[in-house]
Amino acid sequence: MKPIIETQNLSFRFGSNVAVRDLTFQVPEGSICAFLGLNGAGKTTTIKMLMNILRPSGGTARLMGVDSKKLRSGELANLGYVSENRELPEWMTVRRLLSYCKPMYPTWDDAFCDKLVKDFNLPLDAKLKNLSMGMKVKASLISSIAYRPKLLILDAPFSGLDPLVRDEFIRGMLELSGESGSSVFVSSHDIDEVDKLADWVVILNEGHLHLSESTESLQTRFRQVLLTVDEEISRLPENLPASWLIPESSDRTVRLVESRYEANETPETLRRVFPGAGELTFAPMSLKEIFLTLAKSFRATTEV
Amino acid sequence: MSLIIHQFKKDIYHTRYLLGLWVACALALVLANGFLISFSTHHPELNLGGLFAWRFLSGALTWTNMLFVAFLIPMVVHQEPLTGTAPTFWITRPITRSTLLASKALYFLLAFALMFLSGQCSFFIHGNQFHFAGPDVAGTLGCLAWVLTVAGLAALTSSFLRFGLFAAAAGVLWALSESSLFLAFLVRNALVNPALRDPALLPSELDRKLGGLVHAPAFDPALLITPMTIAFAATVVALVYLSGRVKLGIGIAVAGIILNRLAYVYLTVPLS
Repeated sequence: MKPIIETQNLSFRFGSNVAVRDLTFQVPEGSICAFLGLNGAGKTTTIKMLMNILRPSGGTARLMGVDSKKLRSGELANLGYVSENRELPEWMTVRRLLSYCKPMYPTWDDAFCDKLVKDFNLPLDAKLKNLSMGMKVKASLISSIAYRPKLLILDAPFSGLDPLVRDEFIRGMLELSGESGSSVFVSSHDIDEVDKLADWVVILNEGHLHLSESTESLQTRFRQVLLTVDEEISRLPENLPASWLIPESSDRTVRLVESRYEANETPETLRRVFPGAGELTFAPMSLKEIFLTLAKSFRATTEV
Repeated sequence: MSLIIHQFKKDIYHTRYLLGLWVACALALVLANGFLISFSTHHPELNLGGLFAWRFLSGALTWTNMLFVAFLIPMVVHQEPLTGTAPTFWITRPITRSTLLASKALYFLLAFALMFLSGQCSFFIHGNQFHFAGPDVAGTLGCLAWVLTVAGLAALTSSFLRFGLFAAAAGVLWALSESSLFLAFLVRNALVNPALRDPALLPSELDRKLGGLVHAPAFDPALLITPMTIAFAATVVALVYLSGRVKLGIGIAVAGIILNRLAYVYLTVPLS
């Protein structure tokens, strides 16, 4: 696996607060990576370190094989970035923004740019400051992908967008990834939009890395477990395996999420813990369900 | 080179209306200078009111020049702010810091040229003659110092609001330092010069007596202080643009101000 993004013990402190701690993960080239975490998990801080906007307090980050602190115009010409705040020179019209960006990128693709403008239905002569949030995001995306970057980094691009604009945005992103083989790294605290796109997932919790793996592997090891027992359960047993997340019971039914599902071992372990277990059901989970389970599990851990 | 020009053209386009207004004011100053010189040299006995009016207009337009610099340069610098982490547009685009500095330097040069030429040129409308006063060293250095000082302060701030606040604070401190230096100068001379301690001395006479003590007539302290200001301001601008080291830039700016004031004290207050 050749990584397009690679971090090693990446950390960032704001005064005495540690926003990101010892983050080590890799994102394979050509993948669409969902960078997930609850609000305040450290996603934006990590992205800003990747983009060399913030200097890491410790550790390193490499993009396309280059240390993020040494990103120069050569690398930036192959890197697209849509920031959380959609910072744009608001006095410009869309047309001027695009013609301003074009000379900076040797690989600028006019045909692709025109197609995106048409598909997104962007008013070329409108000033950016007069555009709606959705239109601004679209303009920002076009100015960041019209040169077919090798890596596109999007920081919470969907927040505040209506479903139609989200859909158009995702289509633009897919087009880039499909046609140019670009890698996409998209952060979100709402999994809906990236659920079906992502083939790699990185999840953060309170500045720590929780997991970094392929969606396929994640979906293989996570199962929604439902079992019924002979007698009513008033209280779940103590010391359940750590891989069993958010276990709950009602009457004679037990629900939990197994995060290390093994077709041979998991049923055996369940029957050992719940000797009166009858039928066992193992349902595959979508990325959204997995993320929600993890998010609830993080919350429960914090509350404890 | 093409990116430098591309960036420069973008800045010109962004400020085109204000630049147009400035050019109009600069032309008005050239005309006002022409009338003023015409009145002073050819008809000093005539129409004193007119002379004062032209002098006032010329002075006001000179100040307007300075105000345009103080508005336009931060406007252009803050298009690509050099401090803060929120404005991420240009930082993540393939524009090198040296390209950015070169394009902004072109704009500073334009501002300097407009300010300098409008102050040095006069157009005599009656004789339909154009007159260039010639390179006045103090005036040239003064214009350059103003442009670079404004650019330095803009480079150290991330928005026009911050620039305005810092400029206001710097202005107040500057005025206080001027007053303190004058007071120190007055006290120091009053101690050694009995004529200045005479309670019957009228303020107008005090001014006249002090006039001769301000500095040695053979040497204008501005000729040393202004280049020093230029050197410090240019260092701050180049440093912040090329390396992004804002804290070091602030340190150099503060050192420059302190040295400037010390030089002012030593050059203007005689060691009597």
